[in-house]
Amino acid sequence: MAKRYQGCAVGIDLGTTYSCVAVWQEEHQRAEIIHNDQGNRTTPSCVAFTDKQRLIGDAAKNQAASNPTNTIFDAKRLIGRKYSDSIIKNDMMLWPFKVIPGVDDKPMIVVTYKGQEKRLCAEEISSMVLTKMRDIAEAYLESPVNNAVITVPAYFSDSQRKATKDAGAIAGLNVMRIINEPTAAAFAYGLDKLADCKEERNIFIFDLGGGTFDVSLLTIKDKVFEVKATAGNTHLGGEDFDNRMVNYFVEEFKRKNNVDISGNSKALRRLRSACERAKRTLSFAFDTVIEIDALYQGIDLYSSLSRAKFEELNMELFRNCMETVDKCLIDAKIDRSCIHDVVLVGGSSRIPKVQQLLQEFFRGKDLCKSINPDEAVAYGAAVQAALLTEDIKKAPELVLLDVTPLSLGIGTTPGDLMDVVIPRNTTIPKKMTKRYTTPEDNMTSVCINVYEGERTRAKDNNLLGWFKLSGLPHAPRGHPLYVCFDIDADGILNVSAWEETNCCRNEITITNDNERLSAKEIQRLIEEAENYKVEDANFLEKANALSDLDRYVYKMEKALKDKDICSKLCPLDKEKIESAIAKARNLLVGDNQQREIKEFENFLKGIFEPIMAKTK
Amino acid sequence: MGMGSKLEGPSTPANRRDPYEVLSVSRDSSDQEIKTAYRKLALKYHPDKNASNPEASELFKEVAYSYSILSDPEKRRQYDSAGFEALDADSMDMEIDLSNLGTVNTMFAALFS
Repeated sequence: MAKRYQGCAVGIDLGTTYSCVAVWQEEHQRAEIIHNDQGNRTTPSCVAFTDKQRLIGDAAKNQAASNPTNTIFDAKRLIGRKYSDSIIKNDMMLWPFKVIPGVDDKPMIVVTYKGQEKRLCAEEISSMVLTKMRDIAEAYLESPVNNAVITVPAYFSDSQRKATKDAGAIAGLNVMRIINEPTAAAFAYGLDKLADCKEERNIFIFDLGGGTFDVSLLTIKDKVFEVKATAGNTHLGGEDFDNRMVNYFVEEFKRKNNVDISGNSKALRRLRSACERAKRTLSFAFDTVIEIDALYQGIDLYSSLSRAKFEELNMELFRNCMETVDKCLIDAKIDRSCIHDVVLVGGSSRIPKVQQLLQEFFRGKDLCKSINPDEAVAYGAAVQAALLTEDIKKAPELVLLDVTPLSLGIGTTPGDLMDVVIPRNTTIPKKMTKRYTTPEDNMTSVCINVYEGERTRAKDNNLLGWFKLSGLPHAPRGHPLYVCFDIDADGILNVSAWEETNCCRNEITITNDNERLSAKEIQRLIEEAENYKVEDANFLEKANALSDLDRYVYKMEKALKDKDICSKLCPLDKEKIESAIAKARNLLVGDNQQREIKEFENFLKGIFEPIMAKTK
Repeated sequence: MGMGSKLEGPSTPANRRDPYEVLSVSRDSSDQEIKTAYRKLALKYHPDKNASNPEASELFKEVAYSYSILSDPEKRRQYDSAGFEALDADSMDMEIDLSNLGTVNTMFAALFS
């Protein structure tokens, strides 16, 4: 049941590499992207830990090369996955930070913060990024922000969605809804470009971001946004293109210089940053140079890369994208010639080869580049947030009919087959009841295993949960039972089962308790997040105090150097000031409490000001 | 099917309403008319638009279910000729046994899946 929320609500695009926040502006009837404290409209999804403080966003990314093992990115690639997942195993080889298995095979990131080892789950890292996005919004709106719509890739599994929701909770946000990124982008496109569209339009959203790839086909008419089909790959994006480039240059460096840099996280981090820049350059230039001084053992990396070579390195991945496009159209049962607009979303959709392949696929159709690919998702999320907010009276009159990205069903015997109850791409909310039978005579109980996925064998899909239906009447094999799947607009699935004469009944709401953080755990993490916040604030205060003291000492030193003032000082006063400066210098380099620093500054003022008054 | 059992929901056999009636369209209406009627009702009953009315969600599901039949030419033809039974026959002829795996097995699966 959809809830109405009160107070400020924002839309947050929580990306693999960058995040973006937007808010609906009622008076202007449009969403606005909120810039961060650096003036940037997107913020790196990056968190760093040092021996002094925690950094989030631009500050974290900027120091990545000097602190690679404690600079965490890619939390979105870990969230809602198991440590033993082969995808994680492969990613780990490329990450400079350490990941270890935790309780229930949950991947845990190991960092050193203020000299102590800390273990953090992906939800915590994402919650820190969300906290930053919230702070950005609060600074701009000058009011507290408690509610947010957060976007996820359309192809995210149930556990990835729920883990994202948990990250929001740890950040202290009411997550109004988790919506799909391409759908959010469609909102942005539809509102902006199709305001007065009378005809039915089929819109194809191609969303290739930093870490994930999604496509969605929507039909828009009469203010109804109906998702027809969605497909994607939760592990394909700009970072994978960077990886291929990094591998290429590691090989080249090995060949030319006979040294292997693949074990050196600092060198890899510098190379990765250079590759990311080169990739961006190659979206408008045909050639680029990569220059890194003293990359490893004092050897410089000096090389060039052509657009053609870049395309060759990544062709397999680009082709992969096109297969997904094809699959989506087949699922939607819509021919490619019936698509009215092909909309590009996500930073990697700027790659010319990707655009060329996509255009060829749609038989030369012009691609729509009129919306900002980095901001459209947050824009759409802000629109959805407005639709769910009580205080906004003039929200756009529209409704989104979204679909389930993955099929939902139960395991059946013989052979542990997956029997689909709700097929993928079904409009939600949806309720579906199916009849099943008992496999043996006189069975008193059966077990209902609920799965998500497209594989034939139940075990190969994600097990979402299970429950038992017991107390069945004695009956021969083939006794009918009913199983009902009920999925609400928020995508929460409730499965119930009952025997025909209704003599027994049982149900579960799929919460993924075994993998998900418990309410208690979330509470603990919220408290920890508060501690981080307090520590960050303390650090900032202390840094400010130190800087104030430094400034004051500088003022005193300057006074001593001033001949005019100096001539008026008696030797005793001069000595007093000099010794005070020496003490202050000691304090500045040492590790002291903020209170001491503040007190010392006052002490300095007590000495300096009366002496200076005498010189006037 | 539908042996007088009391089941809930729009897609249960016992008390399903005629999809034409749900969408308020005539039996000879065009695809376009059905689409338009569906959109109008979807906009009206979608849970996002009815925060204070929990029944709307159930109505929405009924509307979506009716539309899923009438928007598919094959399903519409089957329904027109023999009602819901024709549709059920299609999906029910592959009745599969429920898993009888004990909880031990399932927990094992949960741990190692």
